[in-house]
Amino acid sequence: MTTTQKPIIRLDHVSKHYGDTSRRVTALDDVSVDIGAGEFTAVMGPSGSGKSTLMHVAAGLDAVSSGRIQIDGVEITGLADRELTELRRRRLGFVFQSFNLVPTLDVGENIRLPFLLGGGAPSADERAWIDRLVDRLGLSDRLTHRPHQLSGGQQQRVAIARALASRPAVVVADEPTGALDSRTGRDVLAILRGAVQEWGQSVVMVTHDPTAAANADRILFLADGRIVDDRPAMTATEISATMLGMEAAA
Amino acid sequence: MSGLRSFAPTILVAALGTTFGSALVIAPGIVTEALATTGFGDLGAIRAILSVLGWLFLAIALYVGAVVTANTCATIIAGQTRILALQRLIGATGASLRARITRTGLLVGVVGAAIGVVVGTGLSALFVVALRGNGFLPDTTYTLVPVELVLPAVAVVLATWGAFAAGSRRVLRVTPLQALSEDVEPTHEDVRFGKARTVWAIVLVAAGVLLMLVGLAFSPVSPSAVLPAALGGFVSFAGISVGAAVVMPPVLQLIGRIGSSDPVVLLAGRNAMRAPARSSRATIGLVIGVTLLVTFAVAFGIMEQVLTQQLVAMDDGSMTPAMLDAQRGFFAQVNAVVDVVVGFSAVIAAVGVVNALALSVMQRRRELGLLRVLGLTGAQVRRMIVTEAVQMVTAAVVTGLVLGTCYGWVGGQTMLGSIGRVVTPVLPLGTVGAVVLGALVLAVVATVAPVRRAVRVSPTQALAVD
Repeated sequence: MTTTQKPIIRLDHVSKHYGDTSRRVTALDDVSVDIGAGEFTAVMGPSGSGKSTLMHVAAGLDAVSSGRIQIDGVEITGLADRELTELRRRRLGFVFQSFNLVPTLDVGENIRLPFLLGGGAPSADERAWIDRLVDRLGLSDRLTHRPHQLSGGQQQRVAIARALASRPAVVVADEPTGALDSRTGRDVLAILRGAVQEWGQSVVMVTHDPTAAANADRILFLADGRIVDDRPAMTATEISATMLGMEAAA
Repeated sequence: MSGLRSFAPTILVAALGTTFGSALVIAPGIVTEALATTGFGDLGAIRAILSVLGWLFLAIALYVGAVVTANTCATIIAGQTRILALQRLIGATGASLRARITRTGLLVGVVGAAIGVVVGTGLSALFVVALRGNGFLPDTTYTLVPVELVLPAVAVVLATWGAFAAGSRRVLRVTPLQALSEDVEPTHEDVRFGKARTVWAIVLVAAGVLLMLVGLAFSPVSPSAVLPAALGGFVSFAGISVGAAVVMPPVLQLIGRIGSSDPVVLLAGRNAMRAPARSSRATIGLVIGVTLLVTFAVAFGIMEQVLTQQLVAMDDGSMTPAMLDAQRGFFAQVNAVVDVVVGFSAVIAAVGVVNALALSVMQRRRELGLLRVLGLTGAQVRRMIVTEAVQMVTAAVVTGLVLGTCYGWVGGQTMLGSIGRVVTPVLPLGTVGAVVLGALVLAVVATVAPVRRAVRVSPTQALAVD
């Protein structure tokens, strides 16, 4: 599917190798793709397909071996660590499978962390937005709790609130439901889906769960470091069939 | 043997303790042998007094060393939870794992003590050669390897062994399931001090304060009022170190609040409060060292002031500035010697602070990675670790300064109260300056290795489920 809007992340002939030349492992093999703004994109693939590496380089967490990456119009290849860190802080939101929160900070501080790290308190406008998020995600009575006092699902909600708090260009989610039971997982996906629909938030989600990927507007299938399929929204059953087909072909 | 290598910090503590002990055992013999050439009488008494003082300071150093060792051992075990859990999964019992760690403790003690005896004897020999060379020591034969050398070595081995036995307790709580769990976040649960400990701490502090009050009450009557006061000082201080987990957290919390509107300082301060008992034990050694230094310095300062006042009051015109200078010089020398002897505990304690910091960084790889992902720059990581060290050291120094000033004043007042009236505590700026400078150097040195390790943590390490 070609996106109608400008891309929020653009990968241009990106390759990523690990190890020295004699025992080179290619995690990404000449990948070019545009991630559309305001879209919910899922990246699927079996273990070792390179989907995690794709997310790492696309979010400026790891350097590419060759190729170029733009995030929200900013060329990130070649940026110094400090500039890259600031870009992550301002333009990106992250939700991981587990260990999302700083254990020594309470819920409110964790949500405000990207602002705190930037050296400034959120503005009145930003505070109102955070309050709305907190209220929406049902965290109002949890603000002074520490992460270890929360259930797994609540911790993910806090992580999502933090990711959305700075109104980032794109939210990057890595197996956000991987550590949750299926019902809590559905709640988390519904929240991400809602952020895309209501606020036009761009979301990229790496997952191996067809049910999770069924929430996306677009699904990229990865195998052996290449994008082997690029499809619009599919049902979980269709996704499963595609995955099985890929494994049969491998 | 790789097991022993991971306990290298504890070997260093054992070696430092034995080095100190060896020097303390060798020194009285050398002093008596030197005095023998001058025909000085009553050598036995001098030797006995020096030995008792030596053992007193050695006992303090051993105590600090044991606290540091037990703390370090517990932290190293916390860092190896996964490996230990894997062994439990394969079939090792908790008791057998603990027995193995305790045996390692014996080995650590023996290796450390052996190194310490060699270094301590070597340093003593160098001192004797140097002092004989410049004519300070008379030309005679000196015993560098007295029989008593065995004593500090054995004491250090036993203290290390005991500290490992205490520190390895938490191995029993490692479950086989922890090997399978994907959650690699180390549990920061605290080894809480039991209620019994708190009660002991309160009883000791109360009894000590009571004894010091008795001493103060009798101070106008007799200089021997210093004896109950000194006993009270020791008892109450033992209470404070036993109850470190009650005393230190409020101080750490208070220090951590300073400047916490800066997110880096906030994170650093919160980290000290992550496991309050662990932070308390990491800093209490330093508190002991600083308190001792300041106690002696304040007491000497008071003594010097009171004696000078006496001399000036008695002045019949025969006092010369030279005599006052000589007195001042004498106090400075005594103070310097005591500083060196007492300061050794502070050095051992410093190793504890370095270890605590290094291990805490090692166990926080994932959290550091997460913070990097979320936008903490490498420079901010560096500043966070340094701030942590500065906060810990500041908490220890402030506590030590307050306690030391109180103890020093009580000591000076009870000893000299019968001469003068109520004396005001004299803060010896030289010692305070040295302590603060030493502490700052410590904070910086303590962070060199951890900072290097922390800055190397890449953002993707937060995401790696290993």
